[in-house]
Amino acid sequence: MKNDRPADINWYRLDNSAKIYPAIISDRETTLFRISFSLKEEIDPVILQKAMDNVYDRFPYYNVTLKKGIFWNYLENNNEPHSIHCETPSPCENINAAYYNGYLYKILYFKNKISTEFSHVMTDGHGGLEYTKTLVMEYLRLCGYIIENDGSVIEPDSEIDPMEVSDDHKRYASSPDYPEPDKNEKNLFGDIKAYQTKSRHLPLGTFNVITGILKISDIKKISKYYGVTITEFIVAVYMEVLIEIQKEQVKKSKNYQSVAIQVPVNMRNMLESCSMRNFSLFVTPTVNPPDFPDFDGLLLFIKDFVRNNTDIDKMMQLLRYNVSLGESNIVRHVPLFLKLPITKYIISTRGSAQHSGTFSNLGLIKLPPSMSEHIEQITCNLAPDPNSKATCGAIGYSGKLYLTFGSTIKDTVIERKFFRRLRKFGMPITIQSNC
Amino acid sequence: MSYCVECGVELADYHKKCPLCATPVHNPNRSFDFSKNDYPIFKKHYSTANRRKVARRLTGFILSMCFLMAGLIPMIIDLHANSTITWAVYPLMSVVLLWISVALPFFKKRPTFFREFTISWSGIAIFCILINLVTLGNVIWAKYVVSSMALVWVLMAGIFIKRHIRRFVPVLLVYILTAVGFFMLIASWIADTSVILSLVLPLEVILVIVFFVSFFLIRSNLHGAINYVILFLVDILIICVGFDLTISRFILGNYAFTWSFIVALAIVPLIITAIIIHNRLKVHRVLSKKLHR
Repeated sequence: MKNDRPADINWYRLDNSAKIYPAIISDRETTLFRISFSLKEEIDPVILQKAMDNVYDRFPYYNVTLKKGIFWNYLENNNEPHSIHCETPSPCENINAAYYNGYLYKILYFKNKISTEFSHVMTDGHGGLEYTKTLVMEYLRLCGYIIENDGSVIEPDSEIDPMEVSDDHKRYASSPDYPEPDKNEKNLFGDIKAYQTKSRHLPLGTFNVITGILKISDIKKISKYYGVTITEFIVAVYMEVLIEIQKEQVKKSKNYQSVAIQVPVNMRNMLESCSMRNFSLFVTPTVNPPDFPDFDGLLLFIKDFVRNNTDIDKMMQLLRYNVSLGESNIVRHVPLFLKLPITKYIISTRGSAQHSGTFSNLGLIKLPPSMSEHIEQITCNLAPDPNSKATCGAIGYSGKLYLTFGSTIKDTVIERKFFRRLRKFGMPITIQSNC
Repeated sequence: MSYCVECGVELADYHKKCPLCATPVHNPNRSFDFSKNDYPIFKKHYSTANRRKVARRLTGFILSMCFLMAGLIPMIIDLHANSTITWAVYPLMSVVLLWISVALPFFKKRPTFFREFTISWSGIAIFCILINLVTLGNVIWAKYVVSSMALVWVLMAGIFIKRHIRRFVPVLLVYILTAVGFFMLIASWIADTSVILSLVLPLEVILVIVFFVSFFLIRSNLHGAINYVILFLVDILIICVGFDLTISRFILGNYAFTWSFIVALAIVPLIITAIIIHNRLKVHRVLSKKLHR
């Protein structure tokens, strides 16, 4: 355990997209996401604790606790000891502040698996993944293996770049190089109420996780055949499944609602950034079910939508719009005790209601060869969403694609239809689950 | 490794059934290797749900202790003053009734509305019979109360019994049979037939129609807690207004709103609030359109 901390930075503002999360954190919607590395041998908790202590000071911006200010929440340095814990059956359970000493991330182990769970208040998938890679590398080194870092993993004793704590939403919003948001466009978020699967929730605090493992070469071949990317292909299958479920659950076609999938876009791929905080935006392909009777048409629409809406100008407009919301004088001067319930209400009526599911692709993970020979698989769980019921996270590693559905409902209808649909394309799939 | 015959996917070694479709795995050549589990096995003490269960039981225990004290104190006072239990039996019975209605549901694993309603309803019926027996030595008035409660219970059962056994025609038949049975029972107890025709029959018809319409609405297309609340409030309002008009017709000789006006004043704002909550998204859209700055 570690408690001797440098105290030169005392607190951090929440980054622009993290501002909404304190309003919605609950046992059902924990805003935690998980990244798991399965090693080829059983985890030694003593060594893992030592590894965590060694990487602790490299990521000071994660060693924080959430505090309330007069107008905004903020992150304050946490000087309490932090320790690893054994994994619980349900991933992404809400952080018990007393149990984890107020920290907003957990380090967990189970058999041969090291998992980290991060609150979206602190960072997004990129930051969580970078931390976990460093932790696992340090763990392997402490186990006696020689890991030659080729620069793809942050070294625990490397210098901290001051830009790692930068709120790049704000930094780029004030950049004059990109066009201003179109003020005539009424609402960049849209104004739809998307279809959301109807089913009974699991008991509070429990989540079903189903991971499907498939070969990247298989899915790449199919995607290439259709002329789309893997992300576009998976979004199309996910959307087709939701359309099908809607047809089963809603009897009258006049009552059909739009189906929308939220797809996070890592802005670091478009703009120069080494921020370890949230720096992602969402695009939300939305379809009206009767307009897309076949898969090919749906795929074509998603391909066009994603490509038209993820160009840098469109994303910058969205980024500026998001920042302008949080920076407006009225919002800034409303006290937090009023802001939180108002934010919660707006998110429940406009934010969460506008998507039927979320799909996030963390991409292909590259590790130094001397490290990857000890790692069997890598998976990621998105934060559970009680409104859209199920979310899907994808991660590619060592020639395999790990598709993980996290769901808050008992019925596995979304996962069942999704993986059966992929099987129809001729892809062999292996299933792992906690249910 | 085994495969699910329904989904066509390969399953990890520790799965006894397919996580996607729950089809059992039948592979005689394979032994389940639970040591390879990718996740810890569910232990109830971990879950938040279990913590809530403990909290619920603790609440039930604290309430039970409070009721026990409330029952014991009058008994001790009565014993001390009269050297025997006389009047203390009434508070004791009231406390037992309250315990059944309020504290007992906290000990239930999965309390449902209809089960708790049945227990509370039975408690009230037994309470009425006991009070009648203790005071008068017979069930002269309690029989009316208990039979009316039985009628309401049957009407409620038509709405809340499990969906797969809730069929339109059988429920309709049960409603009609119960209503006729109740009517004949009351008729056999009251000699004056004018009371039956001008008071009991209209009241019974109002009750049965309200419950029948509610049953039909819930069965057809009404879902969601707020919809149920709205329906419940509307039912209460209609029953109160109907009863008020019928009773005033019986006593005063003409239809008049008396006490139901006050009930309506209390219930109508509640119904309007519930409808606004139910349509909050639409209301929000209209307000944001009209009031945006």
